[in-house]
Amino acid sequence: MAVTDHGLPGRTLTALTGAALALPGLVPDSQAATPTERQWDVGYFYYEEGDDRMRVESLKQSLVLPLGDQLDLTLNGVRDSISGASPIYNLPEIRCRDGSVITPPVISVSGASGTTAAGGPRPERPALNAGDCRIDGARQVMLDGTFQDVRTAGDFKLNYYRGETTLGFGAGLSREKDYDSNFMSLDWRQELNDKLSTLTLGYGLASDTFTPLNKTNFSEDKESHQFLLGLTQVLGKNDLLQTNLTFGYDQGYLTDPYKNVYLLSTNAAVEEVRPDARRQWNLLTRYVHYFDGPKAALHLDYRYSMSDWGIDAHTLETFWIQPLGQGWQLVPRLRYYSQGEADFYRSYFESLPANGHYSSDYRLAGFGAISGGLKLTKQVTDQARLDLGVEFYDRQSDYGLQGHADSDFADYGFTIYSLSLNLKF
Amino acid sequence: MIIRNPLMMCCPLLILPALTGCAIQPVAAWERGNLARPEMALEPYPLEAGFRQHAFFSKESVSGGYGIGGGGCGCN
Repeated sequence: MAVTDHGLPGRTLTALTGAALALPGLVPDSQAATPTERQWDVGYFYYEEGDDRMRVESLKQSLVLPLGDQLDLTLNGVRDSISGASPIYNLPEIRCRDGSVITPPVISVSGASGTTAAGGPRPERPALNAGDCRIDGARQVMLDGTFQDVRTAGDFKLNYYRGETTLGFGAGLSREKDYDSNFMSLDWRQELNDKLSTLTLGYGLASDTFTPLNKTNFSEDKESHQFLLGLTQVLGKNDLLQTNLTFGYDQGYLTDPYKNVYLLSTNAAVEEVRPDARRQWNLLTRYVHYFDGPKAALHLDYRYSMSDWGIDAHTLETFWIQPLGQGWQLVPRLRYYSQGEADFYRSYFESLPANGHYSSDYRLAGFGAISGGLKLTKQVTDQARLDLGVEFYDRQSDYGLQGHADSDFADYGFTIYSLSLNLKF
Repeated sequence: MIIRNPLMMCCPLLILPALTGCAIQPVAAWERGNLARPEMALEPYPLEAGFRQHAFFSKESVSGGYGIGGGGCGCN
């Protein structure tokens, strides 16, 4: 019956395309636009990196409330507990003909004051490129593993429906010990072409303040603007396609104050510096197909991204929703990601570059990543569905397509476990 | 049925995986049952998608594209 209800003209596309306007992680789910039922989602997520690095425990909830015939309200909340170590810079490794491996001395470290693991006096750096010794690879220096933070965030989204037009307004805030963000969004959705097409325009603004814990009397701001143009198209009774073009403009303090770069010329680790503006374009295409035979849905997403920091990226993702009978569903998932390196990225630097921008953040290196997951869902009652999932992510320097495969010392992986409940009431 | 709306001219913008050309068929209201199934939603698991995208956003240098709104974090 639910299918018939949702199949009413005007509702189908709204429901299907609403998700276009959710920035995942931040303003989830407008998929349930004009819901016929109230809905509550609550989930526990556990993120864990290998080698005893970062861990995040997250509790999330999302409540959708219809308010009469023309309005609905979504209230989202999240609490993340973050702990563990993360890399702050890379030390080159010097290999000599006699088989010895030497890491150069670190005379001073800026800002994050990571504790280098080695004890005792460091060896002097041998002469490089003189025949006996040369730089070959690098290793990461980690920030103290006792790091802890909590992120609390909440937002609302109000949708107003009038004929074939939907207007949305949302706002929220996010708080951490060292980072505050306030944000809002506006969007307009128009159904066209006998409701087979939906055109979407959106704008989002975030205003952030960074007060890093490793600095005193220091506070910097950042503003992010996002623009979206989207088209969702029904291609047939079993096929749906969406294309979104987004443009993001970030301005202000975009540096990570906990990241350093190592300078060979002075044997010092100094704070990184990034440009104070970034423009980024994304072209996302999502395709969904329903197979009548196995009664399964195939999802296929491709995103091309480009930023004026010199990074381009490809993201390809697919998942399959297979009913198993008696309310069970199995959802296998596969994702591939590849990015080029930022113009100002090096694993370490000889000396500070003249243009004043430099970073050794492993996330700005060129790399690729493959992740795979499996999820099991069970419709427990007519109202309640339980989801249980696990996903493994493997970052490898040489999985990348763009050819900057020289950051293998930064390879790692993480696992996400998830347990969630969807309740319609 | 002829495509009536000039917006359909946008079709070449669409990259059609597994399809060729502008293979758009008219779909009557009563034929839209499958499209309305929850698993056919563009994002069927929004809560999980939110967490996953946040993890990728923290660990990869590009982000976004899926929608607008939302704020930043100290995670990247």
